[in-house]
Order: sequence, then C-alpha cells, then structure tokens
Amino acid sequence: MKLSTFILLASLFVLPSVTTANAQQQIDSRVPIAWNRFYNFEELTNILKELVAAYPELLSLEEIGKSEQGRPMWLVTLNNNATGPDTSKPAMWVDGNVHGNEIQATETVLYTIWYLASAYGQVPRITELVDRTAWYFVPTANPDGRDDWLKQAHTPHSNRTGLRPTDNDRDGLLDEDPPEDLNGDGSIGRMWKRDPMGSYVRDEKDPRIFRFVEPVPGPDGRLPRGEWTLLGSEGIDNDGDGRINEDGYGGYDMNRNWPSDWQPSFVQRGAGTHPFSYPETRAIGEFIDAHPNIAAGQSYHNAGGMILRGPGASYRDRDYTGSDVWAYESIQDAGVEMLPFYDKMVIHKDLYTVHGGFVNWLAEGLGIVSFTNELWSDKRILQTGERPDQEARMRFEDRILFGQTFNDFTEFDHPKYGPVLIGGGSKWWSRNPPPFMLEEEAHRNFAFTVFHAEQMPQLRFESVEVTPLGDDLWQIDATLINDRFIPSRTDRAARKRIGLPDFISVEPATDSEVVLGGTVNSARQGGQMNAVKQRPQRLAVESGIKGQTPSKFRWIITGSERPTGTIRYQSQKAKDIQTDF
Amino acid sequence: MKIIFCLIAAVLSQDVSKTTSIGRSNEGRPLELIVLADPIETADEQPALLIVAGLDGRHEMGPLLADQIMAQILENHRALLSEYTIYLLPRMNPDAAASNAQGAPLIQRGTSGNIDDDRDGMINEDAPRDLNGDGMITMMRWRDATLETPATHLKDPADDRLMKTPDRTKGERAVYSLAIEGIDADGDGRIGEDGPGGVVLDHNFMHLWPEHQPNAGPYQLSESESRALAEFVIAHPNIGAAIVYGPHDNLVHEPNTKDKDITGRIPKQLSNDDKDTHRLVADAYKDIVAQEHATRISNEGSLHGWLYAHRGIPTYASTGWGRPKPSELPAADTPEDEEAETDDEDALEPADPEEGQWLIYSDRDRNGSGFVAWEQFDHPSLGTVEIGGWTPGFKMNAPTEELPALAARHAEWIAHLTSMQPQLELIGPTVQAISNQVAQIRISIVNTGSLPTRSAHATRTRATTPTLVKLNGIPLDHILQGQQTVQIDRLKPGEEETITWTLRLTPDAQPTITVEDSVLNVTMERIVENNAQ
Repeated sequence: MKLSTFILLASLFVLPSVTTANAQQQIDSRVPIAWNRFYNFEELTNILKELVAAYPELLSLEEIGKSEQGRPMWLVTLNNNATGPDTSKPAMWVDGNVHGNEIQATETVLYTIWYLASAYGQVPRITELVDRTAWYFVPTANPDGRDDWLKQAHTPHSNRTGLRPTDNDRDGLLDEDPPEDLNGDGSIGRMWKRDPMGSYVRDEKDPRIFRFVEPVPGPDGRLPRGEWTLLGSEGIDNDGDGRINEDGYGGYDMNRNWPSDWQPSFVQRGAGTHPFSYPETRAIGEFIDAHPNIAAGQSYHNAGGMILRGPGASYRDRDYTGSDVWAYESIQDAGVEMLPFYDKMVIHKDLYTVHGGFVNWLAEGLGIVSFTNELWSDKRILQTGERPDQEARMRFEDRILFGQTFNDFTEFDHPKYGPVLIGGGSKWWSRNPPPFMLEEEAHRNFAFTVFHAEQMPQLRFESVEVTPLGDDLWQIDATLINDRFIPSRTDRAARKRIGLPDFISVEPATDSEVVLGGTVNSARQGGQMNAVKQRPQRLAVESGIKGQTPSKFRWIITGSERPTGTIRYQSQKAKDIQTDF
Repeated sequence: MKIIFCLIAAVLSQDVSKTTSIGRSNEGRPLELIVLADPIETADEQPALLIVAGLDGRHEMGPLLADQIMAQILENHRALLSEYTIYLLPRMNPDAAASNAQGAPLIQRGTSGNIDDDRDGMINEDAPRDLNGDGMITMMRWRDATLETPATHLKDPADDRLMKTPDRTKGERAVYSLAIEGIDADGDGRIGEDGPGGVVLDHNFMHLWPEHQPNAGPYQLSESESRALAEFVIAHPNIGAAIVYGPHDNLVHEPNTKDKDITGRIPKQLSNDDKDTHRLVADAYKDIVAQEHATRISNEGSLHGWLYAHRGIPTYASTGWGRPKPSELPAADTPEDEEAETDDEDALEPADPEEGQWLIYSDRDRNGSGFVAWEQFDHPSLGTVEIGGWTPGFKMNAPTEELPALAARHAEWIAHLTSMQPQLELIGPTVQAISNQVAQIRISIVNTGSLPTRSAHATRTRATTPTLVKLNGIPLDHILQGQQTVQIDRLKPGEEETITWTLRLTPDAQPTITVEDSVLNVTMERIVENNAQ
C-alpha cells in the first residue's frame, strides 16, 4: 500500500467531522505541559501521574522494576479497554533514554503519551489508531543516568551508562577516578595546556575556537607547530595510576545488554556480564518477553538524525530478508520525509557494529519491526541543512542561544599539568535540541512513530466463497488482506519459528466434516492447494499475512446441504478476525 | 547407599562443610550449595574449585557421584581443604531429579517449565507414552505400508537390534520408519512431539547460545537455575577452576583448539594457548580416573563452555563414567580360540561401532539390561510395530555399585588438580640507593605452582582482576619511575616477574608493597626497608 492510498483513507475519516476540520490544529489537553523544557526524574514522575489521573480511560502506570539506585522503572500502557484488552491488540513499544545522557528521548516519549491521550476523541485519525492498537511506553530506560546527567556536572557524552559501580581499569576498585568540575562552572569541560609542540592554535578572532594545525610542511619545509595541546576532559588522577578519569561512575552500556547476538564485554565493550544483567534491562526484557502482542518498536536515542534498523553486525545481514526489508525500508522512507535531515541507516553498515543492541533483540530475537531514532542533528542549526562549521556554531551560540551552552575558558592550576585552561561547550552543547526546538523534534518523531504504529498488521477477509464440488463435497475459499506494511509474522519470525504461528480455522455450523485444508498458491504459481490432512480445520500459518499480497486458504468439507459457519484468523501480533460463510 | 555416604559426610564434615543454597528452582526447591573448607570460616578467603553436577536430568549418576566424591575428599583428601575451598553444587536441576525419582517412564532432562514444543498453542498434549507398559519410553520401528511416514532406517546387518540409515553406495534402502514410543495424541501427524519438560539448562548459557532452539530458553539465563549459577560464579572471583559433571566431555577427547565463534574473537572450545595446560589436567584425568570413552556432544549454550569462553575459568567437563571395555568371553565358551578370532574379524562392523560395543557390554556385563529387545506391539494407529531400543539413561549412567570406586578415583584426580594450582611467592623487596634520597626498589613475584595464575584466554576475557602489585606509603610525586599499581595479567608455572620503582625516598617514608590476587585470593604485604638518611 502506498502513501497516497493512506492519505485518502485518512481524509475519509476527517471530512465528516466538521468541528475538527474547522478547529485549529492545537488540541485541548486536560494536562497542560510545556514542551520547551527538559524534566528531571521527579518532574517526569509527576507528569506521568497527572496524565494517568487525567486520562484514566486510556492510560495506566505501573512500576516494572527498580533501577540500580532504586528509582521506579515507569511503564505507561495506553489502551482503550472499551475496544478490548491491550493484550488482544497489536502493540507499539516506545522507549527512550537507555543512555543516560540522551535525554530528549524522554520528552519525546512523554510527548507521544500526552498527544495520543489528549487527541483521542478530538482527532479522528488518532482515535481510530488508539481504538485498534495498544501502546507501551518506558519514558526513561535509565532513570539513574538521566537524573545524574541533569543534576550533576557532565559533558554532552558522559553518563551514557547506568550507575552500578564498576571497575573499568581492572585495579579492583570501583568508580574511583571520575571526572571533576575543577573550576566550579557546573560543567565537565575540556582541559587545554599551552605547549610549544601542540597541535592546536586559538583562533585570532574568536579565542573560544581551537583550530587544528594540519601537519603540512611550510615553504621552508618545516612542520608547523601549534601552541596548545588537548589534555582531555576535566579531572585529576584520583587513584594515582597515571591516568585521568579512567574509572568514572558506572562505565557500561545498557544498549549492549540484550539477548540477541549478545557478546561478552571483551568483544562488545560495556555489554555487562550477561544479558539482562542490569535491573533496568531485566525489567524491560521480562515485560517484553511476556507481551507477544508487541508488533512494532521504537527506541529513542540521540544524536545525529538517524532512523536506524538492524542488524548490528554484518554476519546478521542475512537475517533481514524479503518482505521484512520491504517493511523496514518503506517505513524508513516515510521517516526520511517526515524528519528533516534524518537518514535511513543500517546499524552496522552506516554507523558501527553493535552486539546485543535493543532493536536487534526486538527484530532478530522476537520478530518485531523496530527502529532506533537518533534525535536531533546539528544540521537543524543552519537553514541550509549543512553542518555548521565552528564559526557558524559560535554565531548560533551567540545570537540564538545567547551563550547559554558555552563556558568560557578559565585558568586552573592542575595538580598534574600545572596551569591549564578549562572550559568549552557545556553538556547542552551538541546532542540536544535547544528548548525552543524541542517541541518540533518531539512532534515530528511522535508523528513518525504514529506512522510506524499504523503499519502494524491489520487484517481483513477480502472474500469467502463456497463452491459445490458435487457428491456432497464443498470447497471454501477465503482470501485475507493485510492493509499495512508490517506482516502479521515477519520473515524472521517465520524462519526461526519465533512465538506461535498464526492460525486460521474453519468452524462449520452445519453437519460437515473438514476433509482437507491448506494454503493456495497465487494464480501465477498455478493456484494449487497445499493440502494438509492432519487437523485441516485449524491450519498453522507460519509466514502470517504479508503486507504486499493477498493470502488464500482453501478447505474441502462435506455436507448434504450448502455449509455455513465461521472462519477465524488468530495472530499474536494482529487483532483476531472472523467472518461467516 | 546414598544415605550411608551422607551420614559419613555429616560426621566427617564438622567444621569443614556448610550447606546452604544459591537460589531456588522453578518449582521452588533449594539449589543446594555445599561449601568445603578447613576451617569453614575461611571458605571465601581461599582460592576455590567449583564442582557442578545434575544440570541434565538424564545424568542421574552426577549428583550421586558428587556426593560420594565429597565423602571421599573428606575422608581421604581432607588436607587440601586447608588451602582450597570447594564450592559443590551437586543438584542443579532438582525439579528434574524429583520428577525422575518418581519413576515416570519419560526421563525429564530440562527444567520443570513447559514448552509448547510443536507450537500449536497446546502444552504437553502429545507426550511420548509407555505403550507396552514396561516402565520405559523406548523406540518404535515399523514398515509403513501407507507411505505416510517416510522410511528412514534399516536394520543394521551387523546386529539387527541396531537401526541404521541407508548407505546408498552399497545399494541399501530404507524400509523402516522410526519414532519415539507413543501415539499421535493431537492428530497433527507427529508422534510424541510435545511432552513435558522445559529448558535444557546446558543450552541456556551465553557461549554459542543456540538462539531460537526451543529448549534453549527465550533468552540466556532465562531459568532460575542457570541464572543463580551464573550469578554465583560472577560473585565469586576466587573460583580458579571448575569441574562440570554431566553429558559433556572435554577430558577424554581433546577439545578443538582451532575454531573461533562468529565474531572471530572467542574460541569455540579451547584457545590454542591453553592447550598444553588443559592437556596436563586431561592426562591426569585419563591416568587417574582411567576413563577411555566419552560421548561427544556440542557445547552450545553449555555451562562449561561459558565458564571458559567468557570468563576464562579453566573448566573440565566430565561424563563421570564412560563405556567400559566389554569383558572377554570366557575361554570355555570359545573352544576353538583362533578360529573364533578369525570369525570376529570377518564379523560385520556395525554402522556405529561405538553402539556395537555398548551392545556387547550390555550383553556380556549387564545381563542385556542396556537394550530392550524389540517386541511386536499392536499400535492403535500404525498397526503392527516393534517396540524396543536402548534403555533410557543406560549409556550415560554407571551402575550404582561402581560409584564408590569411581568416586575414589575422581576424588584423587581432584586432589591432584588442586595440588597443581598456582601459588604466588615473593622475592624481595630489595632497596638499592642510587644517590642521597633516590633509590630503586625491586620485588619479584613467582608462580611456584604447576598451573598458570590465569588461563591464557582469561587475559583476553578480562573477566577477572589481574594480580595487582601496589606501592604504598609514598607520595605519588615521589615515584620517579614506575606505576603506583602494576597489573600482572598472568604468570605461567615457574614464571617470575620483577617490578622496579625508582623513588625519592625521604627518611620519614614508610613504603610497603602489597600483592593482591582476587582469584588466588591472597594479599601479601612487605615492608620496604628504608635506610635513607
């Protein structure tokens, strides 16, 4: 199905609703929330509780576990119980912030909950989607890391980890050499030392800029030298091993702690001792394992503007085949149009190798079509979509951000290096949208996830025909259609026999015996029946119903009169359907 | 028998043993941990050997052997406990053991969880059945005239009790269908394909985990038993070696030292750099335990595979017992000796010679109890079939009466293994003045044991902290050359590593050197003599 069909369908819903058509786009919410700011854990908890209290008919909140430091792992379920329990519907999984520093992921998840709950009943397209799907949200998969990043001095990149004390330098001590905010500016900056053999010079016009000196011989044949050397991030050698900041808080990567292609930490850095070795990943893992109705997944990270799909390692390329790739790429293509300057990417090819990543587990372990979005790209800074050079970034800093994400360099007498300069971009410098752009980033990604969720399998019977064969034999032909990109069983699920197959059963109401049953090849392949005589009344459909092609089933049943009855289709990842004949 | 040994153990074990548990099974049974150390209070302060048995419900001799080995150690090798701790996990799958103890015909291999083996939405609806009421689940063979079940086997010309697949180059043709004893209870055309029993624990660990194989579990360590075991190992860095009793073997057969896993970074079985060390221990095993045969099965997802490949812990997988050499026939039965031998040479060799030897052993030494003779049976849907085949567990479990002698040999091997364990000795420190208040300090660390301090692979897995040599009592800026903490990844037997520091040594300084090893579980401190003036 193509996008144009989709828009047509959507407009059919919108047109009759005069009030909505004439209303402004803004929706009325029972919970006003500012989307131009970031929320710490207490604030996040309060927002979730307010939302759930305001929309009890749609939202529920549960604690699926506790983080390493004992914070609740919040999970929000969005489901309209009036249209069936959540477990009876295809479900969209949405999480964010498994890396503690990648914080806007949480606001994006929160925005998604807020928008869906608020728009339900106001925006027909959303109402229709919510009525036929369920949603599970974990706004922050790493509450400790998030809270620490927001409250303590950090760099944009620090605190990817959770906060279980870990020995990163193999000296038997835990977290004994973290970075320090030496100059008290509230940030972990960079340390620079004046050095006649250095590789950098400070820009004459803007001394905040350190410029790399290319090692190209000058006219005299000599290599030019700079005046400054970058020492690294702000800190001292706490444990006296000659290295600085080499064993900070935590020091692992919970997005390498999932069961598919999990590898030990000497192969995959930060992987932990075994899959689900952290309470955060275990809580999420056990929940997902217990919910086979999850049919699609989105995990929000930052940064770079990417819509990533698996595999994480080249040797798993062959695990993504045929109709699966078609579904993945079709959704990614829509995303590229919806998300300015986002690229569609394959993790191991276009980013780097990841063993034991989350979306790899969903896709390869559980047969769930899922993506990782890397939120925010510095291509948003300029109007042209080009990456800003240092000068342009500084102009953005000065004119738009009023210098709020840069700490001026200050001198500091370092115990090991002597006088150094400390400063530079703050933790807000590079990986987060500025608050005034947060709402747009959240909305566009939410809209992409709505598109993704709409592509969860939706099945219908296109036709059921009963044909007399004579001699009290009857042929029943049923054709099923999936109107979405995502199959009710991915190729991966079918080939690895993940979960239960779908089942299609014929239940005659008349006095009939089901003699044979089976799938029917397409007309091009000869239109023949692949007959099964064992348990023909209930056929296992291992490959499910794909998005591209109609699926045909046939039964031969006996009956002295024209048979009637019910045909039922059951699927773990689509809503069960039935029809009478 | 078991009760007697337990009593002996109880009497002998005062002050040197302690029984606790590391968690609970799926059905809530404690996962028993027996700690042996002399005195018991020092258990977590000594280097340790981990012994695990009973992960696989079919290996019923494992827990019995483990109990008797413990009794033997307490009785005959007690001295080792004052240097080494033994963490014994003798019954790691108590649910399967409890189920099997009830004498149900189907031996439970994995956990008590349920798997929908045939993925039809129904659980355990088509278990194998003891049709002929002999108390065992064996096999059925039949000639299928309906062509419904494809023929796959023929009788082995060497012994028509054995079934073999056809060798088409010899013109052989399959005429028999073969299936487990049972019926097609759920009408799906398959026989006995969905019986009770959950995850096979030796498929549930991380190394080469067979993802998506139904009995491997939904994810690694999905079972309370395997998870408790792994977490126990991770929490006990003093485990320097491990022995796993079960269906796996890496002692009788030398492990593959060439193949790596899909990442190219992890040896599938054993790193070539650990081959010699492993061989030393395996040779001692073959010598002392005198086991000649063992089955070869894949180590995918196994405990022993994980302990070595991911943690670097030297791990020895033992089947406990292998196929014995069948007795020679008494001379009286073969009056014309030479002619009989000639006949033997002419006799056909079974397709699987090992199976043939098992049959001979069963016939001559076990009164034929290892093989249930094929007998006709009127099957409700297949018509006339024959039911028979190997007695379940026969090839995996030693006769109970052989266990005491076997346990004595295992205990002797274990005592030998612990006697080979690495030991650290310090030489020095020496202080050599270079000038006023500048001195060089040296200390040497020697491994005086017969095994390395770490496996070669452990230096790559980095799962344990290296040997740490720390210079204390000196301000950091007085260390002119050398690191305050030096890491030694590994010392081979007899290997010596010398560490040198150059210091500003002021008269008031009181430097000390500590050597810590979290695997050997030692901390040694030496005072550096300060003669500075």
